[in-house]
Amino acid sequence: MAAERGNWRITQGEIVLAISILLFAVFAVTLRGFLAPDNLLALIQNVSILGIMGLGMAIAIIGRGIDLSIVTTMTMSVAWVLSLTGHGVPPLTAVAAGLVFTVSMGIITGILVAYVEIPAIFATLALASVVYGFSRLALVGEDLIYMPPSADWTRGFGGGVVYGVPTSVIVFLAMAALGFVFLQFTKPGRFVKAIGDNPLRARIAGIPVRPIIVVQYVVSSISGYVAGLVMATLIGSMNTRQVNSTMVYDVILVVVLGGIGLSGGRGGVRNVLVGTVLIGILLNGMTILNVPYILQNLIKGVILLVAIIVDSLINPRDEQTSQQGDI
Amino acid sequence: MRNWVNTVLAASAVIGFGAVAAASEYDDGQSVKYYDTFKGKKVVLIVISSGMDIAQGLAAGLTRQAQDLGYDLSVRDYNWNNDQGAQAISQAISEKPDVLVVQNLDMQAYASLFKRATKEGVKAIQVQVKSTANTDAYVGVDWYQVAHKNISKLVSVCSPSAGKSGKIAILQGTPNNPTNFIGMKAIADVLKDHPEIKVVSDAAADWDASKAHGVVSTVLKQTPDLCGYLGFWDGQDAGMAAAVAEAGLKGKVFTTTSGAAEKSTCDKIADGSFDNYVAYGIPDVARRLGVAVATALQQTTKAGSAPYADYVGARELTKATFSPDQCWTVDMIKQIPWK
Repeated sequence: MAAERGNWRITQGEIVLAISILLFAVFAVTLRGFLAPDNLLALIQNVSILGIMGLGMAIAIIGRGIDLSIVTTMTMSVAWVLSLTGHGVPPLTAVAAGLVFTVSMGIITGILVAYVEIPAIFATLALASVVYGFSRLALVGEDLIYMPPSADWTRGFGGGVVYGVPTSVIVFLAMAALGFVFLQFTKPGRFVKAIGDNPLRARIAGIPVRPIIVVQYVVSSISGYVAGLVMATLIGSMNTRQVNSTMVYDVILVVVLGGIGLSGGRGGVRNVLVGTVLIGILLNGMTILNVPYILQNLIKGVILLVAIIVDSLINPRDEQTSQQGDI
Repeated sequence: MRNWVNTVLAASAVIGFGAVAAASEYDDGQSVKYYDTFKGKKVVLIVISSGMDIAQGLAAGLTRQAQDLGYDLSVRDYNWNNDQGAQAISQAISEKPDVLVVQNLDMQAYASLFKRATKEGVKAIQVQVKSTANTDAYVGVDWYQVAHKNISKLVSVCSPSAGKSGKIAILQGTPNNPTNFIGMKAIADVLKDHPEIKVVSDAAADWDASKAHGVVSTVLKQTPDLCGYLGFWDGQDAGMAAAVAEAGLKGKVFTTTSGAAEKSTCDKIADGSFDNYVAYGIPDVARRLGVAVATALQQTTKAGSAPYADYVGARELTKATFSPDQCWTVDMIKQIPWK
């Protein structure tokens, strides 16, 4: 990437990394207690759920898709799991049932995108409503589902601490490692990148494009599911109103901020980590500074805009670099 | 023997029938008219979400009343969406029900619709959150009082005169929400008289428990001598309690919140997640809402001619004073008879 066209180019990921380091340095000097190991762990912990979903979203986007239903699937499947355990189903059985539900939704999304050929943005947007409506009708009766006390032993998955490190951080790092191995060392992972770069060329090269697109959405759904399980075991409940929140944009923010182009084919796990860490530093610093709510949203928005503007100045789009299907 | 059983059965049937007949026929001057009033009357209840515990409680109360008194009840929900809510209210007004009951999400959104309802002769009752417009009745919580009780408790627990640091933190929901906005006013009013109390953070968590967890865990690490945390809603503050427990500060940082005291959150008082809990009892609200509906159906006055309010007092629950009967379930409300 850096050596492309013979001259040295800075990527958006590197810009964001530089902003992160700068912010980190500023907060480290100006905020008392920012550098404390406990605070740094909390910083990562607070964005680990976002990061796990970011990994799944990244894989969808790298394959030139997008998964706008990730938050809905995550919320409703985990709400169903909690609801089942509340009705006396053993937690592990409930988790297995939730996984079946999640994978099914991923397969349906994949089929809609790959075989019915609906653009991913519309397919997943529509599916999100279907998943929510169906689950509310048939699976989950309340807006807010609490974990029953009988399932308290599962709380360690997202809310535990191992050698001083919160388990949610460990799950995030493990998922990142899995995502890295998937994209770099497995055939489907390499194919996802190839399809994202140029689907027609990928097809001519003999890559089974349609099945791989289905795999892509199954992977993104599962990562959402893992994030949901971390969330539920961390806070002991699942609020289905989250479906109406702006969380899915935060997930896209993490991915795009890290430098994964919405046009697909570019980027990897490293970009998600960089984007997640920047949001983590920002949220942590703003919480310590007690920045008012509206200003926090403004700052997040401005940082995303700046990153995109700087990217398009340094890497201008032309006929060679722009792609068909670029959003 | 058999004859004897038959005789007893027959006799009891006669006595039983007689008792029922007497109950419906006896007129104390109002009772017959009372029961006749409700026949064929139409009530529309519009709630925020059919999955929300408060809405389920209110709907259960009115459904039971409608069954017992024989009026026609239609329950609709707008799923946290003010636009859909406005449509639902317009639709209901055009159907000309005898009473329209609305659970507001917002103070402004439906003010003009309520005025229209009054103009078109539809009696309107607001429940739980009051709009800026007055209608025939408001039944529900006094949000100022809820937050006032919470902050007063925290001030008395955390005051330096009680040997504590005086440092507290507030966890807001969304600042522009009416319950949040009114609550912050109460907090400002109380703290004005207590300069010894320092608010180290008043961050908002969007009613989201995982955001709440993030904010609280950061604030706890930043302020090791924090004395207490005040939250605005038990659903969100489950994340606050989780963060406090995770930091090993359960019982050391005083947590106080408010909510509807539905069974699943009530459990959190018993296990010490919430040291103090200001409860607005929904069975009480549902009961008083039923009274307001029955009154509106009986009175022949013009819609909006005599607006009144019925504020339901909030109770403080703590582990020490806690008993399971202070919590409620929807099934419990379904069992409260009206006749």
